[in-house]
Amino acid sequence: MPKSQRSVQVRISIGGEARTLSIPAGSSAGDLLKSLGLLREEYILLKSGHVVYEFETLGEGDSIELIRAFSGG
Amino acid sequence: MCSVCGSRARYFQRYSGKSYCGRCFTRSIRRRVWREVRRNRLIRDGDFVLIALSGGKDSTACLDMVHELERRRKVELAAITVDEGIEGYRPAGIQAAKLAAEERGIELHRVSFRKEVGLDLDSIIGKLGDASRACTYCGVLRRWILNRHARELGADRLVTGHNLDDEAQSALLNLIRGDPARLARSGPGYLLDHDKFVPRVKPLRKIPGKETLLYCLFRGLEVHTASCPYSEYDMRNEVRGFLNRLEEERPTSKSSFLSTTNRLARSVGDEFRGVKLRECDNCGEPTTGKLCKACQLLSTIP
Repeated sequence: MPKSQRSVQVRISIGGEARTLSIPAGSSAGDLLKSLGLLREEYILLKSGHVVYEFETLGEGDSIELIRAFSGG
Repeated sequence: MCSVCGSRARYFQRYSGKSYCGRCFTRSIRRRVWREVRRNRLIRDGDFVLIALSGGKDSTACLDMVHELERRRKVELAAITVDEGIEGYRPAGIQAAKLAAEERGIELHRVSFRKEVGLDLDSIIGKLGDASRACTYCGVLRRWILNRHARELGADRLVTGHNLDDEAQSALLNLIRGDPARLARSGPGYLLDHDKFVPRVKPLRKIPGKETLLYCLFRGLEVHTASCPYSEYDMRNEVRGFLNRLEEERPTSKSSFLSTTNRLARSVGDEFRGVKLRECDNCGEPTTGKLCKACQLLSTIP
């Protein structure tokens, strides 16, 4: 299988910093957090301003904003 | 699919195993908060309720729910916001608090460290030369100011937005610090009573912090989400990380821990039930000793 079909590119933004990331095709929002070493307990994912369900599969070109639920203060 | 209505799910609540759409989620949170308020008589019909509003997710979500009681004419409601004087952080929160109060037609009282104690928090920390003490000074002075203003405004209850995470962290910190008296006071009930002490109540104490933010997102509430620059120095940060890792692996850990420590607090409470509050020799605010904690801390500033 060609490499392009085995992974998808998503754009993520955390705390105002954005970058593009390659993740295995079929990865869910929860998988993305795991691959970043982040806790599901601490982060909420937004796509186009809407909360993303933990089991939702992310697609090529998705732009995901990660919000930390515990900002402190 | 949403476990309640079958529409598209937006949130999986790991500790209950249920999925929710935004609408059913916010409904379930409101129901749980009303239950907590009713069971523990946190707010009574006819009360004048003052809510401490920082503009963050917790106090804004709390205001949104308590405002419902005012709309049903069950309580009278006002808000108070404290400007601690933290450059680059506090102004945005105050703006969010102002907006939240205005949108609901609620009177917002604004007080500041500078006006109340003559110094803002940045100046206090500058004089102390130790940022690791910021949260202690901030917390003690904020509670001191809030109690006095709540009393002067004639409030029956001072409502704060403390959530499950805040409560579990405090309980663990009290255990680590070996402070059973504070642990005994940490439950929903109150051991201390004094004419000058306005009972503080926490309707969100069983709602995880992540869910108060989700509530705000689903309800479209504008909140201030930036981090306080002093929070990185607080030991609470380490405790928060520990509890979150535990919850990630074993959902329900935080609520089980809090419920157990609350039971312990009730048992330990008998030991401290007879403690009488008196007035601070310096400022007249209620305290257990000769000087209240705020006056003690203020006297240490060079």
